[in-house]
Amino acid sequence: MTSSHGNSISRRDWLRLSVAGALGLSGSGWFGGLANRASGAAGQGRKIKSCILLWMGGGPSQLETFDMKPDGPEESRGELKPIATSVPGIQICEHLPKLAQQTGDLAILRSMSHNFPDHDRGPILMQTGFIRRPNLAHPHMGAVVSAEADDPERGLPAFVSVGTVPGPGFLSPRHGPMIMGDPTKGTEDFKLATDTQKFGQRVELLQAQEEEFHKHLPAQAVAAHRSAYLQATRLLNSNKLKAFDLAEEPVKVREAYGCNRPAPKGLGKRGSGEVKFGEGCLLARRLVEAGVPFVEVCHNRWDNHDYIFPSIQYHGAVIDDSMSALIVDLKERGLLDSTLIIWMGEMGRTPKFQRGGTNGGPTVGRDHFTAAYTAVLAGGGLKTGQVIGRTSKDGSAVEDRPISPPDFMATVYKALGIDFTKEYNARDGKPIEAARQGSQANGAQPVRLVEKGEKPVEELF
Amino acid sequence: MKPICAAVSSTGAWAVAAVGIVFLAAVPASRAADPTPPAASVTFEQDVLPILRTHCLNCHNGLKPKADLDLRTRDAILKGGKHGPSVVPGKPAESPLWDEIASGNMPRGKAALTDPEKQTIRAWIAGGAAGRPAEVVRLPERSPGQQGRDPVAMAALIDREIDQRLARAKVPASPPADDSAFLRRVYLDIVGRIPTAEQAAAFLDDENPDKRRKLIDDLLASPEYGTHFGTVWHNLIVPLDENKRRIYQPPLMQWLADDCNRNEPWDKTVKGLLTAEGAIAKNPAAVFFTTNPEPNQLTITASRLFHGLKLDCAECHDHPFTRWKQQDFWGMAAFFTQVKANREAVTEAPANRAKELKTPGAAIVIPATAFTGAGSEIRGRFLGGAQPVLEDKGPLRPALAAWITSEQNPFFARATVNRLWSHFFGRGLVHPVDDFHEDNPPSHATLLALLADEFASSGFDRKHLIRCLCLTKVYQRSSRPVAGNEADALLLSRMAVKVMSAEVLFDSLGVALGFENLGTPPKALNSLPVAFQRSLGGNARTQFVNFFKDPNEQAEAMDYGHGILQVLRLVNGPQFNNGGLTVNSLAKVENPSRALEALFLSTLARRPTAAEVQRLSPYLARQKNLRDGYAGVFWILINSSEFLVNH
Repeated sequence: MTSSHGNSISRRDWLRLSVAGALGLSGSGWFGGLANRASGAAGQGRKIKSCILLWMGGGPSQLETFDMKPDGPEESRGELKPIATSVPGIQICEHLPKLAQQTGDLAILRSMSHNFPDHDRGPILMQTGFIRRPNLAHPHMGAVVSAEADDPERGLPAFVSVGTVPGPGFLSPRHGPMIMGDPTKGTEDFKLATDTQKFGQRVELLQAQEEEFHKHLPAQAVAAHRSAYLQATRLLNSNKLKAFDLAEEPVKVREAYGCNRPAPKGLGKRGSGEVKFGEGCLLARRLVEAGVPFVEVCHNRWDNHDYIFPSIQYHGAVIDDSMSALIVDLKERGLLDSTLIIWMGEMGRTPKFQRGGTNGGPTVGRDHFTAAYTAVLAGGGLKTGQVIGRTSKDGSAVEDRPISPPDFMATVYKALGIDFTKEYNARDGKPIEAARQGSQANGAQPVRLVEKGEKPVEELF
Repeated sequence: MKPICAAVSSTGAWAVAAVGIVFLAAVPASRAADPTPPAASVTFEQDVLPILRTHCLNCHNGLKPKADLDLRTRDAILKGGKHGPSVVPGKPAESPLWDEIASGNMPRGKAALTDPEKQTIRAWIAGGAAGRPAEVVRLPERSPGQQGRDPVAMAALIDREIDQRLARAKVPASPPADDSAFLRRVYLDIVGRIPTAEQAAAFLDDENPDKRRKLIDDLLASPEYGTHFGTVWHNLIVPLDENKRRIYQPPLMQWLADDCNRNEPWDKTVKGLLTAEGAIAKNPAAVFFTTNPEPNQLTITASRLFHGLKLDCAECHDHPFTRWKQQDFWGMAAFFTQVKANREAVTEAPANRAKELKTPGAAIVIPATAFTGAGSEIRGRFLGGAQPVLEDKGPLRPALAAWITSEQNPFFARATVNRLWSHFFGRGLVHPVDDFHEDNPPSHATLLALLADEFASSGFDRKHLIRCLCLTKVYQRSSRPVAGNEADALLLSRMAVKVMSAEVLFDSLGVALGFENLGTPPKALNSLPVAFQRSLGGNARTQFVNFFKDPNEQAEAMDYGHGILQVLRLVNGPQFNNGGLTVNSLAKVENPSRALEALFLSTLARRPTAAEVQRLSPYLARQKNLRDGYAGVFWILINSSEFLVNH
C-alpha cells in the first residue's frame, strides 16, 4: 500500500480474492468446485449458535403484551387483562395464553430503552446496535452472524429475512440478507431451466466474462452482482433447497404454526392486512434445521396509533400461536438450546392513550415510546423463566436494571457465541486481529461490533 | 465575471441561496468573501462536526439540548448554553467544551473520544475555531434579456467547474468513454432502455464526428423520452403502498409523459400538479392529491420534490438537526387544508374548516399526534418566507404554487437541477438529493448555482438542461478508473456506475429479447415494454418491478439491490434461457462470429472482442444445435454485470 488510494485498492483486491476463493477458481472452476463441496454437511463444527429474530415492526405495546400494569392508572392499564403464567409471579397478556404456558422458556426484558422514537432510526438502532451515520453503515446483526459464522461449505445463505431492509453495512455484500417477500413463494425459480451440464458450461463462461469486466471496472455494484450470483449458483447446487418448501410439512404442523390465517379486517390501516407470520416461523425452523445461522421473520402490524385493543387481540393471537409452536418444535428437535429466539420491535408504546379519531373507543391507540419497553428472548441456552428489569407502576420509566441498545446487542452476541468486543475494519469489512485492535495503522478504521460501554445482561448466562 | 455574495446578485435573491452553507443569509456577507484557507487547517464542518455528530449530538441537538447547549453549528457553540459560551476561539484552556472533553467528563455514559478526535477538537479551538469559508460563487455574465445559453457553451462552463476542482485536488480524470459505452449510457439515461442491435450498429458505424450531439437530440425528441421521465417523476410523486409495493397510476404516468414530450416549462407543470382539481379521468394531475391525501403527506412529498428538503421530522417537533421548525412544516401544510381528495377526484372545500379556526385565510391546527405544539393554530406561510394575505374562502393552493415556482423561492430551481444531475451522474451535487440543509453543502456550490440560474433563465426548460448535461465531457467520461482517481467518489473524475432501475431492467430485457420486432403501437406508453408485457400477459411489468425494485427505499443509483431470489429469476426464467426473438432470428446463422456480433449488440451495445470470440466459439461448436448455443450466449450476456449496470 504505497499510494494514498491504498485503502480502496486493498478493498477491491479483498473482494476479488474472497469471491475467487469461495468460487474455488483454482480447482475445477466455478461450478465444478462448488458441486464437489456442496454435499458436505453444513454447520458441522460451527461454534456459533443460530438465531431467529422475530421482528415486531412498528413497535408493539409492552403494556398489552409482556409488561402489563393492572395496578397502574387507567390509561397504563388499558382494556386487556393479565393472566398468570407457568412461572409463579410472572403475568402476561390474556391474548398470549400459549406463551403463558411456556414462560419457563422465556426471558422477559422489561427495561429496554433508547432515545430514538421513530421508524427510521429506531429499527436501524435495534437491528445494528448503532444509530445510522452518514459516513458509516453498521451491519444488521444477521450480517454479523453471517460474517462470524462464515462457512463456504454451507450451500445455503447465512442470513435469510422474511422482509427487512438494513443490509451488510461495511461488511462484504455477501453477508447481506436473502430477502423472501413471501415465505410461501420464491421456490418457483429454484429449478434449473437447462440440464446440469449445460448450466455448468454457461456458468463457467459467465464467470470468465465477469472476471474480465470486473478487472476493468472495479465498482462496488459489480462486486455485489458477482457475490449475489455466487450465492445463487451455490444455492442451486445444494441439495438443501427443499428447506424452503413449506409444502413438505404435514398439515398438522402447518396448522399448529398458524399458517393460512385469514387477513384481519377493521383494524385501521396500520393493523389490517395479511401477515404470513406462521409461515415465516415455520420457514425459520426449517432453515435453521438445514444450517442457516440467522433468520429474520417480520410482523409489521404493531404501529398501533389506533385500534390498539382489537389489534392486539388479533395479532397477539398470531404471535401466541406461531412463536409458541416454534419454541415447542425446536425443543422437540433438540434445537432450542442452540437457537436463540429474539422477539422485539424498534420500541414500545406510550402509557398514555392517543385518540386517533372522533369515534372514541375502537380508535384508541398508543404513540411511539422508547423510555421503557420490552423485548423477549427464548432458547439459546439462556437462563429463561425470569423477568429482567422493572418499570414504574405506570410504565413511564425504567426503575431497575436499564438495558441500552449496546447492552442488548452484547447480550445477543454473547448468547450466540460471538465476541462482541471484536473490531472490524470498516474500510475492508475484515476483522482486525486481536493484537492490533484499536490501531488505525494502514488506514484501518476500527469499528467495534457493539458500541463501547456495553454491559451484557449477565443474569441470563 | 462578477462575484455574488449575500449583498450583490445578478439574478435576484434566490441565487444567493445556492451558496453552500451560507444559504438564507444566515452568515454575514463578509464571510462569503473570506479567502480560502490552506487545506490543512481544521474547520468546523469538515473536521469537528463529524466527531460531534457521532459523540455529542444525541443530547446536544436542537430538540431539547442538554444544558441548553446546541452543538450543531459553529455559531451555536460560540453562543453556548446555560453555562455561557462553550468555546473561546484560540484558547482551548478557557473553553468549557475542551475542558469537558479533555477531562473525560463528556460524553457522558458513552464511548469516550479517541485521542486523535480530541486533538482535532483542540486544534480547531486553538486555530481560532474556524468555520469553513463558503465557496465564493461567481456566475459568468449573461447579456440582458438572454435566456438559455447555447448548450455547447453551457456544457463547457460545467466542465470548467468540475475540471478546476479536479486540478486543485490533483486528481486525474478518466479518458472519454468509447462510443459504445456512451451510446448505452445515453439510451439508458434518456429513454430508459438499451439500444436495439440495429440502433447500436448504426451509431457505432456512423463516422460523423458530431454523432454524439445528434444522438442526444434524437433521443430527447423521441416520445420514449417522455415515457421514461414520466415514470421517473411518477415514482417520485406516488408513494409506495403500505406493503411497500409500487402501484402505478397510468393516467398520471401518461400525463407526465405527454408533459415531458411537449417539454412544458417545469414551473408550469408543477403549478398544474399543485393546483389540480376535478376527477382523475379528466385531469390526471389530480393523482398528486389522491395518492397523497392528507396535508402532512402532501407537505412531505412537495418539500422533497420541489424544495429538496426532508421536512418529515418537523411534522411532530422542531427538526433536531436542521433549522426547520414545526411551524415551517405546518405553515406549508396550511395551504392544503381545503383539499378534499378521494380515490377518484380532488376538490377545494373551504366551507369545512372556517368555523374551527380563529384566523382567516390559510391556517391549520397541529393535530394531537404531534409530540409538541398539538392544538396550536399555524397560519399559512411560505417556507422560510412571507405570510401571504389570503381570502378567507381561498382557494389557497394557487398562492402556494405561484410562490413555489417563483424567483422568491430559493429552493425550487436548485432542487430540480440537483435531481436531474443525480439522474445522470448517480449522485446529487447535494447528496442525498432531497436533503438540502446547512450541514450538507453541495460538493460544487458554484456549479449548482450556475445550473439553477441557467434552468430558471431558460424558462425551466428540462430538455435544455438535459442537453447541457449530456454534452459535457464529464458526462461522456469513461467509468473506468485511472491511476490516481480510484478513490474519488465526489469530484466527478470518472462516470459513476449505476444499476438499472427495475423498470429500466424490464424494458431493456424486452429490447434484448427482440420485442421491437413485434411492431410499435404508436400511442402506447412505451411500445417496447408493451409488446414485451403483452407477450408475458397480465400486469407482468408491475409484478417484475415489484419483485426487482430495491427493497431499501433509500437505496441510491449506484447500489446493487438484487438478492438471491432476483438472481434466480434471471438465471432460471424461461425467456432468459430461451433468448426470445433475438435468438430465433439467428437460428439459421451458421457463422458464429456473425451470430456473436448480433448477440453482443442486442445486449451490450458493442461488438465482441477477439478474446470473447475465441472463448465463446468453442462453446458454440460443442452444442447440439445452433439455437441452443446462441441461447446459451444470450443467457450469459444478460446475466453479466455488464448488462445490469449503466457504466
